[in-house]
Amino acid sequence: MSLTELLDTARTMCRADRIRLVQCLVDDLAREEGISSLEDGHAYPISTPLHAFDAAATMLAALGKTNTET
Amino acid sequence: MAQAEEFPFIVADPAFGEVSRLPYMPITLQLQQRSVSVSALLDTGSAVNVLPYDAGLRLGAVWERQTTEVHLTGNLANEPARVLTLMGSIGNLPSVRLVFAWTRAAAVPVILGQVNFFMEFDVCFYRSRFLFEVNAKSVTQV
Repeated sequence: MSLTELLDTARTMCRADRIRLVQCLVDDLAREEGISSLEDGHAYPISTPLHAFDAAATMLAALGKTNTET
Repeated sequence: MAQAEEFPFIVADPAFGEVSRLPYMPITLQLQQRSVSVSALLDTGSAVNVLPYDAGLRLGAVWERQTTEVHLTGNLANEPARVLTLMGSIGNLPSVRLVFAWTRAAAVPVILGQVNFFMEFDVCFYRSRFLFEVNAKSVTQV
């Protein structure tokens, strides 16, 4: 299939499918270049304890106590 | 003594290349006479510093002796954590006392967060240049 034929076909697709097509091509190119972006369906663990302010307050108090003792 | 140290963003996963660059920094942690050198993640979104279980053991810390418990969030919410205070040295910057949430979790990096790493150091991130700079905090506080 030539590029012209491919584009003609792509233009008959709905908007959502055209966006998915572009995303697939970008992902393929990025992977080939070793700069892959996030993969669909892959789990990415995040260890960041966001908003753990209760822990933060407890730790600051403990640190203050340590500083006072030394 | 130096007042600033510069570090590169590190590629955390070669399979992902540039997009996986993160601000990891070498730091030496000390508890009494024992010290370990680790690569720590500077995480401005983290409320606290986090120390993985094995790193605490390598420093000679004893879980049962740390009596102050804290509750973490996110992936670490299901693991118990206790307060552990260490000395931290970064390059030629003055050593500081850092307080950690010592978690029983193993699959976690050393995380440097708001309490109290970012209270002790001023950090400038230059992500576009893959660099960040760590400064000893100013004596005069804003």
